Amino acid sequence: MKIFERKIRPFRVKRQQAALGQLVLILTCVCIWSCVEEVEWPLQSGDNGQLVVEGILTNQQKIQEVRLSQSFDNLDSPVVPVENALVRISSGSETFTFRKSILEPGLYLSNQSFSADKDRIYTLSIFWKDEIYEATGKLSFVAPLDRISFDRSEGPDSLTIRQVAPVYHPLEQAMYEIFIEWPGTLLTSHARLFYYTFSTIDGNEIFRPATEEVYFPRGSRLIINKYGLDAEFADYLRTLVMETQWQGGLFDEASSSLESNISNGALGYFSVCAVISDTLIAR
Amino acid sequence: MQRSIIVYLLLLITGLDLPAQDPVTDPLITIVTEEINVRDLMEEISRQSGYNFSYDARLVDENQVVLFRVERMPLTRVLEALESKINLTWTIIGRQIILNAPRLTGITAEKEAATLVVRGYVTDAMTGETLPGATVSVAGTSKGVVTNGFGYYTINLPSGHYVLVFSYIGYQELTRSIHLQQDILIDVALDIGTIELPDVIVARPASQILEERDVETMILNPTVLQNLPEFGGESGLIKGLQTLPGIKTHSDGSAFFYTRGGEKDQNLIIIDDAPIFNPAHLFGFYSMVIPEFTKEIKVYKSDIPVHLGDRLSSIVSIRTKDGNLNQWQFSGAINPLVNRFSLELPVVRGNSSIFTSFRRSNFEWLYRQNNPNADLFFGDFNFKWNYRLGDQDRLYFTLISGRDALLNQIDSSGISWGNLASTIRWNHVFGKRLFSNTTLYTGSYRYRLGFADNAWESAIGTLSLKTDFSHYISASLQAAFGFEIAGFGFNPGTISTKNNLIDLPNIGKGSSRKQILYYEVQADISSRLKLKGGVRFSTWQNMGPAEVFTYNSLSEVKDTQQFGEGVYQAYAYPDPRLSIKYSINRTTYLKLSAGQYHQYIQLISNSVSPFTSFEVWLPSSPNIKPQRSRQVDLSLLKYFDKPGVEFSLATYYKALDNQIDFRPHANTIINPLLEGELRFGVMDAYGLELQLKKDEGKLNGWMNYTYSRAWRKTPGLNQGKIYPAFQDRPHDFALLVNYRCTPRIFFSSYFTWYSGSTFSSPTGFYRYLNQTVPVYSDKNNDRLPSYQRLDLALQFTLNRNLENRFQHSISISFYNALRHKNIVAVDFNKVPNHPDRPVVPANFISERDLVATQADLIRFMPSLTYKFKL
Repeated sequence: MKIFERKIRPFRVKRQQAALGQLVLILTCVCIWSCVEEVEWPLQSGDNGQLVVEGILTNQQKIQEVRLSQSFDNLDSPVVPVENALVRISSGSETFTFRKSILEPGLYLSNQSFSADKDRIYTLSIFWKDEIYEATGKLSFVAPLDRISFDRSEGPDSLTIRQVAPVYHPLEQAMYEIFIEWPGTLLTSHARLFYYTFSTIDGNEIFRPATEEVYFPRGSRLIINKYGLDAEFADYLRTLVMETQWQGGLFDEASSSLESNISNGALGYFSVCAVISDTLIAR
Repeated sequence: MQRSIIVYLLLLITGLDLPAQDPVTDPLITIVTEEINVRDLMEEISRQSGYNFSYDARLVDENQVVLFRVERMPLTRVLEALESKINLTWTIIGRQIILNAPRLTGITAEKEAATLVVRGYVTDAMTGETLPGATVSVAGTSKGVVTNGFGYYTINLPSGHYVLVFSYIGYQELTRSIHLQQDILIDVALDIGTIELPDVIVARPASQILEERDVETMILNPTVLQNLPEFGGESGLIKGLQTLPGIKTHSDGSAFFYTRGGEKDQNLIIIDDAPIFNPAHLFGFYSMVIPEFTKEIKVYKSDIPVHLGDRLSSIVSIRTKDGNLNQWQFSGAINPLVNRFSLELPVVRGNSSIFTSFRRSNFEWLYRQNNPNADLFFGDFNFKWNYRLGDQDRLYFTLISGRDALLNQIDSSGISWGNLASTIRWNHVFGKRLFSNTTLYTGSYRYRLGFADNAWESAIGTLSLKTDFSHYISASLQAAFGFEIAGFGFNPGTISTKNNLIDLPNIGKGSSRKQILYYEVQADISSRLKLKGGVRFSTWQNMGPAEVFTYNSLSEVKDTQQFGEGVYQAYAYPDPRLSIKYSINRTTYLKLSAGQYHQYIQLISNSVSPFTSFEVWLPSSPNIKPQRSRQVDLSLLKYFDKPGVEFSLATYYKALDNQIDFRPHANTIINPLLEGELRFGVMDAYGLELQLKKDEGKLNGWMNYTYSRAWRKTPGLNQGKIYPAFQDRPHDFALLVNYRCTPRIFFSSYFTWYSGSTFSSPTGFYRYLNQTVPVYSDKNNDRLPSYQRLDLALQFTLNRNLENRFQHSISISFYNALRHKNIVAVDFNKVPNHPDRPVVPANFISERDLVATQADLIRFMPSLTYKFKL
């Protein structure tokens, strides 16, 4: 009996996004008759008020964060934070307890700085409304950052990001979180963007819907966090963007809820990620 | 919408009655004499109607005195009265009333025992084209046969005197008197109807003959297809199929269609027996089949003949034109978006000809200015050659190719796909009663997604040899039998690259073979009861070398098996089929059929998009059991006295097993573990289809209403609960109206309304990484708004003299003339972006409320096409 092993070796895909962008332009010509417009759409009621967990434990020595909220009914409903939960992360004999943030409802901060270590299993435990919710994670691998390229256009906010990383890489999966601070307004981020590299290709990834372009002036400061993803978290994020950023393109797939790793029916995801960060000035 | 339906109903209903009140086509006759001899009576009828009698003097006793009294009675009713007096049948051709031989009462089974054979081909007199589906009937009897797919017929009769009536829709009826004392060969050539251009149906088989066609088999006349309102210069096969009851297209701009609740990959389109795996051009806006190239389009939804099969929902069988045997002909259509040209050429006059057609898009002007490096086109090339070796043998060769490309000219990145199908066919008549059709065909489909350095490709191909025999055993007994041997090759999606350092996921290619044996017998149990039964025995074998993964109950790989060359896995199933057709009376037929079907190849796509994309075909395998359908169907067909008017009703139930669905957010591209993404369940589909049809006269068309449901249940999905399929659309209404205003002006309209498709809408949301994530409850819990569309077309013949060899016309069409927004998708992930359309947000730091958005594709599309023929 031979247990299946996926055969993969180093592979880089260059500038696929640029080529595909050209295709999207052409396809726009194909669909010159298409129209997207706002609509009032009555939704069926669901079993909302469920616990939502957003926790990414990193290998950076810092006050770690876990964000708790509840699911809600409508697109324009306010997010309801969870404020009376007990949160802790444990690994072996170590336990890190979390406290509520005074400044931001629903945000829980570790009582001490710590970082996730390799080869250890971390367990998130949340006690809320007489229920216990748990999830585990193990530190992922992260590869060095790629060079970010920009496109220029006319006007005062003349730059936009052309490419952060390849959209497909069979060896490496990653999420890129980019904060952009306009020059002269340090400490205030104007934009938070996400990019991804996955080991999968999806139709609605290639032919995405019309997406807002974020322009910023020269001299803006970009803070880049690259999160290495394990296969499970990568699959969660892939399905997340299929339901959010990629939804509404030419080749949509059937919609479905995301599969959480939190027990007891909670939504969201707990992951342990290796992160590398960089800061650059856009020129 | 309701008002539109009412207006159309009134139009059709009043229109149906128009010919009855038309003194030109059915003049009113008054004859008040008490006694009159037949000669004087006929002269009086001729005087009042303007129609002349034509008859064999030996058949008519002109001096016979009859009692005859009619007042302001339509001519047809008068002739019926005359028929009862002199015991002669009649037929009207042009301005001639032809009296036929007296009715032979009751051809009994004893007489049929000693039969002679009349056989031959029915062809078009002008082009020599064989006419499949033409009717050959014996005047004055209920006996009749329909020519097979190659225009060949055989009819068994006792010796005696007969008048044979040959008829075909769109052609003038032809009668031939025979004195049958030995087997004879009668090839006949029918003249086309009097109104030629634009084509229109001008006649149908005489109402008194036995209707031979199957109740559930739908025939889409290419003439009707060509006259349909166009989209961008083309009417298209798929849009034509959409007008038929029980067939639903995906949405605007789609080549996908669903038949009686079945999935989109459960329909097979064959052209001269060769399969077309993807009939779409330009993602589905256009169909691959060129209407001018088609001679006959038959759609089987149930009681599929045993010589066809291996798809669960429908077989669309297209026979192509052979080409004009008598004179060359060149035709074309020019439109701002698409041009097409056809050439028919006799190679050996009367014996051999070729037909070739070419079509190519020419919409570069739409995008070239803004995208100079883009290359977007589609094209087709069709070729047919036929050779008549003699009375017993005919050879045919068909080649069909189509290609789409959407490329960046700089680095050749982009997507492209293409079909290639080819057939070599040999018809041979063995003796008097055995007709054979031997076909060697191939069909392939290839899809490519290319980047600068690498490309993703998937493909499917088949090569097959089959022989079909039709055995006309006696007048009341026919048999069909044959075999097929086919090989298949599959590429479920591999990456090729120019970079030698790259090692990619290994996606195994596969090969399979299929063997078919079938036998079917059709017997006339009595003059009212027909029985058809048969079995299609199929085997499917997967061939090594192959690497096969096995999965546990959680769809995780638990083992890998390596197989060497040869068959490593096989399926074999007998699929029985049975039907009973009962004639309630001479105009009403009832048919009950039941059958089992298996399907061995499947399209793997979790996309809900209307566009064809990333097609991956997989064979049945150790992990994918063949899909199975069991269907029962009860149909009623009623012909009305008014010629060409019929009403049909069909109700059906289908139980389908091993139906493929997908795990949520399945990964179907470049995935070696593709089979692990599949989930298998069952589906139930049932429905009621009603159709009122009038295919004769200046005003013709049809009206359909369908009520149908399709439910799925798949372990592991939707908490194991039942859920409606995407194609579950309970109500479907369609109305096609054609009207020839004058010999040069032809109007056509098509209106359809149907329930929207199901989809999953969120029942809640949550926030993760500043993004609003939808939460879903039941699968397909919501429904898109209903679909509604009115298409209009006006064809104007530019010739004043319709007899000219050179004919040309212009066609003006309006697709979705009511500008109705037909929604293809509703999403919940965009922010307003005034004044432009909503967009997906990219900056997740700003707290902006998302809004629901809807997308529609084609609100209005005018089209202007110039057509010519010389």
